[in-house]
Amino acid sequence: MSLLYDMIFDYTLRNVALGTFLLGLGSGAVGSFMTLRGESLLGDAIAHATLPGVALAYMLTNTKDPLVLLIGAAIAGVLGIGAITAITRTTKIDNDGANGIILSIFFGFGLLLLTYIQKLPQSSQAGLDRFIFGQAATIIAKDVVIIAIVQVFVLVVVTLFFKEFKSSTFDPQSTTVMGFNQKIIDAIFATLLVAVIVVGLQTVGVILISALLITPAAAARQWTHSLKTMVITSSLFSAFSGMIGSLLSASRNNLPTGPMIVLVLTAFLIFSFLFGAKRGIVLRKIALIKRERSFDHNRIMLALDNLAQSHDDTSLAHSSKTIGLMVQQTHGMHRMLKQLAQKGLLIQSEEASYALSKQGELYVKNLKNEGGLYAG
Amino acid sequence: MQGEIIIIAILASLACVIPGVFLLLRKMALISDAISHSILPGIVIGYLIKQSLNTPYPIIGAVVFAMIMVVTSEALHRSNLVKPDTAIAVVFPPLFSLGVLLVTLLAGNVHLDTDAVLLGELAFAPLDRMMVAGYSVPKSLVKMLLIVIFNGGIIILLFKELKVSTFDPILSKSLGFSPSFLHYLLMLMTSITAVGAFDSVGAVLVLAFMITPAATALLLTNSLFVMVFISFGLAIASSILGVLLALQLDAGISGAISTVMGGFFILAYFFSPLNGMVTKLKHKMNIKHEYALSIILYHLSNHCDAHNMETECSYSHLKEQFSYSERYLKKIVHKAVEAGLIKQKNRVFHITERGRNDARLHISH
Amino acid sequence: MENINNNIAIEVEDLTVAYHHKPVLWDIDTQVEKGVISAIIGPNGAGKSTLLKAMLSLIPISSGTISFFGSPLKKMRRHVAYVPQRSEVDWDFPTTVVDVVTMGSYGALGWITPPGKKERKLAMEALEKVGMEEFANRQIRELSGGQQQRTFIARALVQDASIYLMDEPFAGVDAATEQSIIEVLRELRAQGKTLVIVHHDLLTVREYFDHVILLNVHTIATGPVETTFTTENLQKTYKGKFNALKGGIDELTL
Repeated sequence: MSLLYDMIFDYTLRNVALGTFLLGLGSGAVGSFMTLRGESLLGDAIAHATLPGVALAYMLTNTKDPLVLLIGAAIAGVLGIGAITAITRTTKIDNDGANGIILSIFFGFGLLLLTYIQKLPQSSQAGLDRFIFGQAATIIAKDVVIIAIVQVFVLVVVTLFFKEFKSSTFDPQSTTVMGFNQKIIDAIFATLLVAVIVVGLQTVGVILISALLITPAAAARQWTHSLKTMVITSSLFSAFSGMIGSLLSASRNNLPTGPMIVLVLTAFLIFSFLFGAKRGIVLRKIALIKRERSFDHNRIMLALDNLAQSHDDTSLAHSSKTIGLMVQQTHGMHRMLKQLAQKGLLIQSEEASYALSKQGELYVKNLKNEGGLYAG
Repeated sequence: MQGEIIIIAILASLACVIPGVFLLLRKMALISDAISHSILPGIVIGYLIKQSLNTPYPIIGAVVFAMIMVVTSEALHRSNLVKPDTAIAVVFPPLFSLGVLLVTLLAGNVHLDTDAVLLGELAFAPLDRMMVAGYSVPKSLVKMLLIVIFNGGIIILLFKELKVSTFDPILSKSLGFSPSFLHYLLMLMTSITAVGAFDSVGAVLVLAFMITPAATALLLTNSLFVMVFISFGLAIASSILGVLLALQLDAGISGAISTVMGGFFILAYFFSPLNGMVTKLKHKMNIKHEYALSIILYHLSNHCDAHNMETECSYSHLKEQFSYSERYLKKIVHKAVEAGLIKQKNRVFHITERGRNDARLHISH
Repeated sequence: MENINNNIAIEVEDLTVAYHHKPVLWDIDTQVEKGVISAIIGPNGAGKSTLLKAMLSLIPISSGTISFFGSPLKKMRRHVAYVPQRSEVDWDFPTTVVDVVTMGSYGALGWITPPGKKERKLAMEALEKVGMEEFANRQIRELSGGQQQRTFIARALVQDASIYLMDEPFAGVDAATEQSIIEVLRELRAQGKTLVIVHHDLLTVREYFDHVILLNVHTIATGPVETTFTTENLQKTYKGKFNALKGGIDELTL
């Protein structure tokens, strides 16, 4: 495919693919912990909160140098987290409300500044718009370097403090008693969050950045019960979605990158929900069907045993109709009897008549020993 | 013109505040943010039906998608696949992305500028007009007025029910007010308001209008009834001041109004007589004082009849025993003497009858 | 100086915890000697869990001092282990039983150092002590209440602390688990450890505990079970809610 060729040899496409891939690595890892900490919507709130930081950075320095704006965004993000913490700790407003308030106030203020800036003679919309809606297509090599540095930093920190994050997310109280200052852990975590959000803003924009963190984590959770595996899987989901999404959007001239990445992520998510090895819906359904079938099978076996007892003759074959009457069911009787015969538990004689085989008798005996139909 | 803008702004913020109060109390602030993002595809599809925003289709489409958002995230949560906040966080981004995708693919740049949809522009609202009873009025004004009436009507008729189902859903059920019906009614109200306000206020700031005045009011009162009224007042004040601020700075109006709303919140955060940080600090000092005083009184009432009074009840002993700083001890003692609870003779303290009674009260607290 | 042979394991003086100007704990004074199993008893809202949390600096206090073997908590963290209420933890967390127990060794490891074979071994040993070694690789969400509680206790055992503070370890567990837990606790006591436990079942106090702290915002009484766990004191603690047991203390030893 020429796309794959382009990915390696086309300068722009290579940067975009690489940049979005790297972006996903750190985002997925951080997002894993956020979902487990119950902070799934914090990312959205903080992303919105960075706007005034960007605007003020521009106003104060008069440059559109991404690094400067990034720092402005980061400062605003950190202030936002601090404000949310302060509100939840000192007022009766809960976490949800605090997130909503900071989101609104900061973003509203940011918009005020933004619209003010846009009226100024020297400024133009483009650079600042990028922060709201993201524009991965314009990633240049320098951006990729920044992204890479931040992601490596995030992954290193996550690895170093893995056990602290794990323990404090699972049981913050015991972790504090053991001597790990919760405030320090929260601060480290907040730093990571702001870092991934701030670099991700340029690619997917304010509104969609939280999806890059949370969606892959939710998807990864469906496949494993190990935290380590979940974090790694989440990173990979996010990275590959980023790459695939940005490539898809490059394949047609008009498609915006952020939304494409999110749609790919959501596709991964839906797939995980349905087929996830641990909790997937499809697997659950299959397990349920199996359980019901074995229940029905056991009823038939017990019914035949009953008939054998009352006729005092185990070799007597009974018609499927008779058996059906005993279990009070006609639907699917033929099929189930055939299945049991295939398993060797029943012997089929002539026309749709069945008797217990030797193996079948043993089976019934075991079943009754274990407590009958409702055992286990 | 300016007056019309102010009126539309007031109506928009009033319309938003009504569901906002309940959303905040029910811890559903962020769901409304998710809703306001999710309605985009609905609006676009509605627009495409008749290539115009002026049909009811965009509104219907928006409400449909808002409900999709609510129902899907609840289904996810109930299936135990994800936590409730995660459910919201994964449902609105794809819906929003779908919307952006549709806009770029199908609608081009003609009327559906993403910027405008998201940010809205109150300043342009008066330009789109219609005739009502012989008068030319802005369409947005009529639209917001209708929404205010609709929302206001619901809250007046169902105030009791909404109140009970917010604070005690179980009680609500036993009284016959189905909490899930009220929940979906609230979601419907939120969706309609979000849609109605998006072109004037912008989808993103609908949240700000809904939550911020309500949160400020929450810091000022413990009564739901009063909270609603304070929210109204704040909404009106913020709208007026916001429009003026925007005109002064020549900036976006909805941003200005949210900033003013934010300013009120910050004021309340620090200075609220109920909850404010400044007030709290004072209270903390008082409790500390009260406690320190009661310890000293207790100590004095126990030891000041004995013959080691000179040692037990002296100033220096108190300082040693309780490790208070010189200044602090002086302050408490001074207050106690003023209140007639203890008497000072030379450097020894005697507890008065009143002081003794006071100590007894504190102990049997 | 960390003197673990000091006779008083825990000393609480003048502890007051207030929440929004309302005292939750007022002027608490109590002492727990080394090597006893002590119960914190009181009605709902009496501040029992709060007392544990205040002792552990998990919540801010308005005034008072708390010392462990004469030193503040800061210096004694290695010697204090906490078992919170089961309901205060998210059991849907992706982790196995042995993983949770291994977390108990984190304190000794300190920041950054990851757990290794040694910690894993300690965890398995602790699991054996509570009879959960077969469940080592089980997902924690698949556990029953009793199994969860035992996992928690195993985690505390790994810490090899001198003082164990537990919040309602017997709540919602089956009889067999309760028995195995009390055996573990008695063994700890035999090793000279000190245990302070928030307990809700008045009927088992005499059997399980040596020492009791009766609490209802104030310290009503504190001391050995024989002298302190009396009808009179219980009436003061439960203030009228105790009328159902008119027959007094003896009716409790069913």
